Amino acid sequence: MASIGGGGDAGNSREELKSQFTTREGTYRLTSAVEFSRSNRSLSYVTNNTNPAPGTSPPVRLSFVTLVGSRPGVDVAASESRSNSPGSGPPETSSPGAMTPSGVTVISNNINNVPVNNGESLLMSHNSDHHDSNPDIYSTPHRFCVNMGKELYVYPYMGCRKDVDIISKPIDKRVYKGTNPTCHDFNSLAATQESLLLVIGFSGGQIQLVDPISKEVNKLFNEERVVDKTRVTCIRWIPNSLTQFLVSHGSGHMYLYNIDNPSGTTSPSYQVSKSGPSYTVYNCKSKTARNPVTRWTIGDGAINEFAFSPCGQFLAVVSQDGFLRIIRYDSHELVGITRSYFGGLLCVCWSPDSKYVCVGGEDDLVTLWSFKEKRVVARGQGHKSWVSVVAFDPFTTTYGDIEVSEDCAGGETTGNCSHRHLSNDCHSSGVYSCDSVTTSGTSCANQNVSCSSCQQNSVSGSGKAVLVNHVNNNASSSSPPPSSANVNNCASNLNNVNRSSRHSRTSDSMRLSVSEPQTTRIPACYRVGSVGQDTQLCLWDLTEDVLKHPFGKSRPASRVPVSDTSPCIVHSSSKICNSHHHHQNINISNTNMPNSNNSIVSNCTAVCNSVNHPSDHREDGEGNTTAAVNGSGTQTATNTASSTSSSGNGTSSSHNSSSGHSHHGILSLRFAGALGFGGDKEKSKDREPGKEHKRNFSLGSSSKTEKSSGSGGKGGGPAGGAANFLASIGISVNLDDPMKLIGTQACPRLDECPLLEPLVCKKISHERLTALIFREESIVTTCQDGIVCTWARPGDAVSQL
Amino acid sequence: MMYCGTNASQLEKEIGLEFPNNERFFGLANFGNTCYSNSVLQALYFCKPFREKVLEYKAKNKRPKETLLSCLADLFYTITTQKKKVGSIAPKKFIARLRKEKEEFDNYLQQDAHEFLNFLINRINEIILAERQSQNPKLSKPGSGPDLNDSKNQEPTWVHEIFQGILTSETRCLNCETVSSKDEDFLDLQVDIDQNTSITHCLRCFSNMEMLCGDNKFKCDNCCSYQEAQVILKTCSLKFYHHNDYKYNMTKLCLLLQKRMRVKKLPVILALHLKRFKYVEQYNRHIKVSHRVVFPLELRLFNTSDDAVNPDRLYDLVAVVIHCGSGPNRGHYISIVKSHGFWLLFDDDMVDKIDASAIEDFYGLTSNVQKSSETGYILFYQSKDYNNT
Repeated sequence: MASIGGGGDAGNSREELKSQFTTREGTYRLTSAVEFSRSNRSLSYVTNNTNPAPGTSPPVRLSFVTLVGSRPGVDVAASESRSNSPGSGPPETSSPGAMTPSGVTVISNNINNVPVNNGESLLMSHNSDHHDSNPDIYSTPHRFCVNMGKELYVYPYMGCRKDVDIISKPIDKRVYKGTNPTCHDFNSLAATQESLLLVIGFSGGQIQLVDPISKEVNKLFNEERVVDKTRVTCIRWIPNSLTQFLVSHGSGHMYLYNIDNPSGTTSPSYQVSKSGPSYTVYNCKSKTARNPVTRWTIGDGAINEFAFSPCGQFLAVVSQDGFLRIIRYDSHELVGITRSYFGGLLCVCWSPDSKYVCVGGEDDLVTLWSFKEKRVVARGQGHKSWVSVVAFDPFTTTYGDIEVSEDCAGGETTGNCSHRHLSNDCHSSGVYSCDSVTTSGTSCANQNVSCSSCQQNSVSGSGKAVLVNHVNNNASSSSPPPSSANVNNCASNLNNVNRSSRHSRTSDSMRLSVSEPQTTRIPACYRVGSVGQDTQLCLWDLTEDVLKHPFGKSRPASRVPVSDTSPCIVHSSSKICNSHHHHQNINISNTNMPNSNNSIVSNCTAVCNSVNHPSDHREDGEGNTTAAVNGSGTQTATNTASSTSSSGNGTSSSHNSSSGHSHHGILSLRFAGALGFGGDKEKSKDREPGKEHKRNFSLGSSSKTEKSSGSGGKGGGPAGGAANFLASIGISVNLDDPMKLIGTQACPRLDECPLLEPLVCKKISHERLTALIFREESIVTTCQDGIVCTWARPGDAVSQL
Repeated sequence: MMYCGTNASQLEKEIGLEFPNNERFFGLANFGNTCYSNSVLQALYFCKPFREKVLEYKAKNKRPKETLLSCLADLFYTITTQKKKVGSIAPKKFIARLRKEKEEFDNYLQQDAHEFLNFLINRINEIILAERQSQNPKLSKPGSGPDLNDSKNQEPTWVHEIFQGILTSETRCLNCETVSSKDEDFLDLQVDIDQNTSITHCLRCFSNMEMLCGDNKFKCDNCCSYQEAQVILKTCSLKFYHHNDYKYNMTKLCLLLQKRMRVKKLPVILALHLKRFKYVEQYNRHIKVSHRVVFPLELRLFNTSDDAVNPDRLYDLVAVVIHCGSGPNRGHYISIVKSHGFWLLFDDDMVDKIDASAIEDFYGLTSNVQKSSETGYILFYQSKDYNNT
């Protein structure tokens, strides 16, 4: 039967597996490995010939949710949105036909029988309480769902604790016949002790909505497979929606469902509502509301995964045709596209600040794509086979130049938090994640660089209210209860609600004081994790140096000897365009040049990075000379930037040294860079102004940049369309011919962008890995064998949850 | 796994309106363990450049002397001119000729599909060269060099144009640090495989250098030193077929220098042979390595040399010869091919349409337990730019 193994005992047969690995912040240890598969196997593969062999059963996937308890706000909103909808009463027990859960055996105690603290008090007291070791496994606010073969389980998640046997006590267990669950997603808004909303996709194309706790909801979509017969590849709730979810299929279609709409019995007919290069969006033609609401046809071949940006506005879709497509969700506009080096892209995720998209695929590479620059900024080579999951670690990612002025405030908090995290104070990360929520929210406004109104809003407005409004405005098709996102986030951060709100107040005030650069700024360093079919876990640090590396031939810049990097940096300083400059630009606009801000930002987006204002190119520590192109506003901004960021450097180095695992490469690289700039500055200045003028002219100073950015998706944007990135990278010419993409910013050659080595690369499984989730206290992985492993973060001992 | 052959009309129905014009899907009858040949022939038939050239040969040579090539041309021609769109035919003449041409194949034993492919490609090349020479004796100067370099002194044949690439091997003497590089032709690459890897990774191992110890000593031309101990071999040692009997097998040489091999010229059709049959001393026989090695439908090479002619070349997987069974001299060969956007499985005289996602079944096994498996054995990647040139 199932076993719970501790520490290093997991999988001691065959080759040796790693049970710990060390990064700069400390050592991660395998604390629990829960194996579901043995019990599973004995059930699954015996009798039925139609059952796929283990090798071809769908990937084992994990979904997590944190209960928000019975917080009044959410509950009211939830129930409202349900009762408002006509005919919402989900059939209590529908006849599920082919996918009848043949024996929905509920092994667990009924949740209601378990004495629990209720709602908020539980959540709030959780952190302090858990040492009392209440053995009640339902006291944890975390739930997870795992599918294996034809089975699907929902369990409480016990984090790093291994003293509790959860395996025999699933909250819900379902066994399916004739079709296998392939993927699932909890609705995080509707997660309470009493009720969960879980959507499940199946290999036959069907979709099921269940409430694994109350068992009162059981609704099927595409039951007769009239919508799509191919396997469901990915399923996700629309951000902030209690009723809508999006499903992708092996056919290359995606469908939007509304849980309140009836499913038609006939196959739906569609009419085109929007089309662009290699994608089309259809509305379902029907007199009455029905499912699916819309259909998306994207690319050529299966859609393998999609992900909403943390800000909720954008959808990143990866397909078997090798393309990553970024689509503005509400307007259905294609705003970005890039391609694998070769082969299908299998997985996708967003950075917590919505600024980068990371993909992995059949080229064995992890590829990082910058939203702002619309280009591939780095690749990671370390996997020996296909990359099946990529994920950003929001808890070890540090942000440097997140926002205009917010980075002053946000930066400080971030810095402190991560610093404390490094120094093994795990509780600080609570604050940290709150912070990251805030920043990601606002940074989405910044993503929206071309939308001047949004930007103004978020910059000049007041904190979270603006954030939420913003989300609401843009995620138009969903109707989130106001502030529900925040409620949810804060709740999930346990007892840090107060602190976080305090924090947001702080950042409000900071936000308004643009020219007060009094705080530390940490160089941005994103932590990305990936797992693959090679059974390895890789971690990648994407430092500022890498992110700023310009497009074009040069030597790889990560973790290389000093002698190599110096020229790289110098080079990049002359051509840089990345977030840094955007922020500076925005800064400028805040003070007095809104127009030029817009054009500049989109300029960066459109063409190779560059060079809008010489002053913008100045790297940290480059010095204080400023070209007077932009007048005094720029002067201030630049000074601000350089002083803050140089202190940022200092901080980061102290991090490194204090943790005892410094990366010589990265460190020295920074210093080398700083030294190198002085010499090359002249040259870059000499060169740039000419280009700059040209670009600015061609771009015009339209305040309609948003429009042009949108129409860029069609490839038919006006010639002067600043954000017509497709044209700028030569994609509009011919999307069908991937040969033409090589060497462009959408698909650089190997030597045209930094090729990174992994920070950590460990074999942690015998079977191919299929899930990777970064949690506050741990990293969770699973593999095709169905062993769910929890890796405690440094300092998070087993006793701490 | 059993593949129940749908009968011909079923297949036609299944493909339905998509059925491509002028395309025929014909299985090949088995004459007693000739699946090694059938599978390779089907794969080659669906390598478009190869098929076109063979048919062109057929068109140009109305009444040729019977050779293996003429038999192959007849076979291909027979398939393309079938009235029915699907069915099966017996490659009688070709097999008879094959048995005549090579003693090793003149029996009813299971043969290695890769050896057959290698023999066939090289023999066709020889036939073309011989015919060219007989037509125009001036073209080649007999005795100008050893057999090996013969092809180099001549215009490349269409076999070369399709299959031949160039490897640059860079050798560094560990004593004097001299780097010398040498170009070598190849018609296919033989790749060592590791568990849970991709073909991409296995190919990348080409460029990786490895130190090995060997008994043989190698003399550096520059410093004339005989290096001890440090011997360099690539992790994925690479056999190199030039002519039929010429094998350049690095593992046997045990050189005392650093060596890496990178691809300098990428062929139109990249044939990759996964070395799934390993000699195990312990058992005194070859055993099958069923490692799971994934191969993407699209491929680009990582291990190209700096001066490569066409390093960006992007390949599509067009055919895979699959070995089913537990050992080299047992089991069965089938092939899957891509034709007009969909995938077909040829199992001797049976043809089935399969879903692209079913290719996953042929990657191999993750468990190291020795058991029967159906695994990709020879991969045929065709350059995407073939149609443009």
